[in-house]
Amino acid sequence: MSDDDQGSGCCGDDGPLYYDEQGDLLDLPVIGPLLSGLPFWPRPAPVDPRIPVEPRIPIDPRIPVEPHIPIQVRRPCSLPVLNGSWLIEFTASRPIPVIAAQQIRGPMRIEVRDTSLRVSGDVYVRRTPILGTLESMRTAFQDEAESYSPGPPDAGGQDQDLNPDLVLRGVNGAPLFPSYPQLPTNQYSWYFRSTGVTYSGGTLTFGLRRHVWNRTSQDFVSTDSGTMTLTCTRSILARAEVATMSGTATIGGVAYHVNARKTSNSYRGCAVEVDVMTGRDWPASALNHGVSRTFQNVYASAGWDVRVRVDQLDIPSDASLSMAELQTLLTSHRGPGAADPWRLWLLIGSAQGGLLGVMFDDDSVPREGAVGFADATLSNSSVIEAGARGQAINDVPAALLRTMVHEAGHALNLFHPKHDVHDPPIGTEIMNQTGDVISFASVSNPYPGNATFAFAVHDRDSLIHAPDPQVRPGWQNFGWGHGSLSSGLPVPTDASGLGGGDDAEGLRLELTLPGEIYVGEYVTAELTLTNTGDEPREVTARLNLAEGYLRLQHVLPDGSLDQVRDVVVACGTRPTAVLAPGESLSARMQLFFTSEGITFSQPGTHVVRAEFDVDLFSTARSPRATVYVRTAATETEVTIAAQTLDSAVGRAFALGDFGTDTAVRDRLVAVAEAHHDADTGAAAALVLANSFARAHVDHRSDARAADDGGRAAARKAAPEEAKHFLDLAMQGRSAEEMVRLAATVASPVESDAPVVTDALGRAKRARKGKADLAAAEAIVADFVAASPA
Amino acid sequence: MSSTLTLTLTVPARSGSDQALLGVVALTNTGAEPVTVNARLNLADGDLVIDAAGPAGTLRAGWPWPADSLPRETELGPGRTLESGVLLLCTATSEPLLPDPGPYTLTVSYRAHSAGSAGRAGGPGSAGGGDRSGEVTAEPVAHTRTPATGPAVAALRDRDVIQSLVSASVLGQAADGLAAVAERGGTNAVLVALTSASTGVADLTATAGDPVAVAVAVTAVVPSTDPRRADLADEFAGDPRATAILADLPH
Repeated sequence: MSDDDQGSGCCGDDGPLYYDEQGDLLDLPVIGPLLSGLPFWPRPAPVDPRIPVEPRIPIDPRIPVEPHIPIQVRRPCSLPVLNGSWLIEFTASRPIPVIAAQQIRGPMRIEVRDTSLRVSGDVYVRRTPILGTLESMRTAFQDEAESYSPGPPDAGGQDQDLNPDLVLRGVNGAPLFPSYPQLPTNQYSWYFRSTGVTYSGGTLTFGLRRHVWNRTSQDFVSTDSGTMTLTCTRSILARAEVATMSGTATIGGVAYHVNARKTSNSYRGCAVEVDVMTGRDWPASALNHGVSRTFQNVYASAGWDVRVRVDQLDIPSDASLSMAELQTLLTSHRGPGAADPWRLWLLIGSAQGGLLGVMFDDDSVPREGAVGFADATLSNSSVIEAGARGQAINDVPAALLRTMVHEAGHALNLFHPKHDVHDPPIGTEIMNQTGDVISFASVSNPYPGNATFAFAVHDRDSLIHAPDPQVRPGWQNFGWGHGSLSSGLPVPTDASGLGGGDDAEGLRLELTLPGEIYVGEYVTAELTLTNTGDEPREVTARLNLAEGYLRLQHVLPDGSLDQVRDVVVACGTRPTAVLAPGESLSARMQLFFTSEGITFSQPGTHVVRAEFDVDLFSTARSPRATVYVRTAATETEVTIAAQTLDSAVGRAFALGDFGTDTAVRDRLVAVAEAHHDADTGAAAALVLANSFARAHVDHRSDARAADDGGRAAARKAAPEEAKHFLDLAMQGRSAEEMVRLAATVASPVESDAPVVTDALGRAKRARKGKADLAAAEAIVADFVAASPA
Repeated sequence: MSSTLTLTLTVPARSGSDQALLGVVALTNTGAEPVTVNARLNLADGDLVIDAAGPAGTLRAGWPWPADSLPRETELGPGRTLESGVLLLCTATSEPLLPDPGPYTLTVSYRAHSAGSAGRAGGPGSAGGGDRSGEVTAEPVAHTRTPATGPAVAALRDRDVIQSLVSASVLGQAADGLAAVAERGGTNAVLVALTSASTGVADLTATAGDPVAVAVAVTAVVPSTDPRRADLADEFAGDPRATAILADLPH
């Protein structure tokens, strides 16, 4: 064993260790695929990596190893070396074009306890931003890894994290300065967790279950399985060498080379900024059963490396803090920080009613702030320690510290056990409400002495192994993982995740949808692609749903995910347009009836996100738009919905033409005549105008041998009817509104659809204003540009 | 012990989709002996559970922010009642609780005795969060949500508006939505008035009409021991029911 391998003697070559699906060490040989053909050795002496090691002088791993050292003298890594956070990188085994290469990497956590070994990881995928070999990318990635580190403690500041016994450094194969791979959320692709592990002779082998993330629905949507084999050996002589592993993986049928580099003996890390109101104190430490408890060492007991920085001590006092005031304090007092490193803001505040604390941040970027109320007062009950009775918790450090650790736990998406959907036991550990902890106190074991300054197993498992979106502050809302928020559908996919390209730097795609509609209402969308860069950019010109470059990812209220395309599928070349800096490409389209049928037929909240392949290698993605769909409520809405909720009518809206279906025509007429003041009625009128403006030819008709050049008109043009319905649609609308609606009614593959130019002509005859007409003309130009010629 | 306790939920039989729904929960001791009960009769502390089964399925009422709090108990004498207002507006994830028009059935349960108290058996870790000992339940209540149109309907589905009403403060971009909600008057106006720190007792009374209505609205959204409760209790000193509700005390 090398000197920096701490532990009680297990060096990884004492014979194979077998762990079941839950990561628990098996006492007996197991017959099954995992163990077949492998000998069984006696169980080694238990190792508990939580046991602090003797302080020792760390050796800087950056000091080069003397060249004459025989580094080939290696032996298997011990279990404590495996234990901790790793940066893992996957490289496809099969050759791939350099231009299509991706970086597939992320954090892997290996938790080794005396009788268990569990592995989990979060994988982030991004398209390689540079042209070059995979090796050069990996070097760049390693450089990037250095920037993941929260950095060493600031000796000149008020950093509280200075206890070398609690954060192991330079030992067990970890680097001197621990770091945690924390990558952009928009690159998140999948999560994996071991389903059975063996460790023998330095080789870690495990089956895994992979959960694939959908960036649109922001949920896991599919599950598959795989295996991974990693070998860890270390030089006997190079004591300060950072541990690495390499091996192979097969996941979802795809083979990878895998490399991993240890980043810390802890599993996860988070920077914590603390601000304090005037007259209150941050509980830097508190005694509990004679043991000094700190925010850091409670989290360290769950494998978390939290770096606490007490910043401002003089936030003006306020007798009672409202949620709005707390949100404002978070916004105005939290220090600046980079986007990717995990960070949390805590406030020692005054009071809010009788609460001890609250995780108040549940907005669109949730779980970044929590507060403890220092003025909350303990009762005079005999189950409260004598010195704490009637005291504000500001003067009872153990009580305030417990609350701060508890609230920070909520910010990491932990629940009160009594509200947790997994129904863990109620007890005295951190995530129990203080009220429940006190209910277990007694005169002989009073609060806060009866509180357990540790996380329950259920919460510790979550802190170490739950997926990043659940745990990371600022990602999924509170309730994801232990509450009522749900997960999604299983769909097989590849290891790169569901997304294609990760982003299109320098381009912004915006999707505009109505905030609320009723089932049966005509729905339109507007998309705008803007060059936000400094250079002209050549992009795909076909911003329509028919040709496949544009797609809408649609999450329905029941959580299911679908992809929205036009009912017409067009194929052709990919014309491009050059966008100057600041210039935009826009298009409008109907979403009433698409490849999904009636797109918004399900009442509830729908989430839609647009994806547009701007070139062969990049995809722009819009922010998510939310549409609340309700049932028709008014008499008018019910009347309209009764006519429009029909597949044939929907298809007429999608094609801009009712064809020869007279029943559909009659339904459209009914809506147009009675409700042309509503956009659904006007859209129906424009479908009729478009249809009547031209003949409908039936190429299959037996009559084609007649006198029409081999074709027969199944519906003759009716200019007067077309004019009538144009007039109806025009009523009460500006030129821009009229043409905007017409551009959505026309099929995206018909750049010469009469309704668009006719609507503009009708608007001109109505003598609309110049600016109005100019806006309408711009919409016509956009329509033509977005459609196949 | 819980057999001597009766829990009820009182709500109007009907409400419009443009109205926030306020209810009154009441815990009454029907026995002959005093009983010490949990006094955290609200959604924020998490001991009161209200499920709404309606056209879109069953949703649970909630307070959006997880909070740590101390135990609060009170002695409930024979025939005495502990009452509180409850806002039936959203789930713990800030989604609308009654999202669609139609019939709803509201079921209520309450942990009348806390986890480690005499009303519960065993020590720490002996019972899961789903343990129902020490719990009382109410008879299910029928409520019909009627269709409505107008900006208040959409506003009551807006996350910022919901969280503002529940927290009695103005959060995010809620100002316009709150104005739309207030225009519907009634309960809406009282709840919106509570989002402004400058709303005085006289304003609240003028808006709500009677002290009990004010007390119900205030206890639904303003935490216990908030100074506003004491101010109102002083104002309503002549109304024992209103003052008891505001002080989380039996009457």
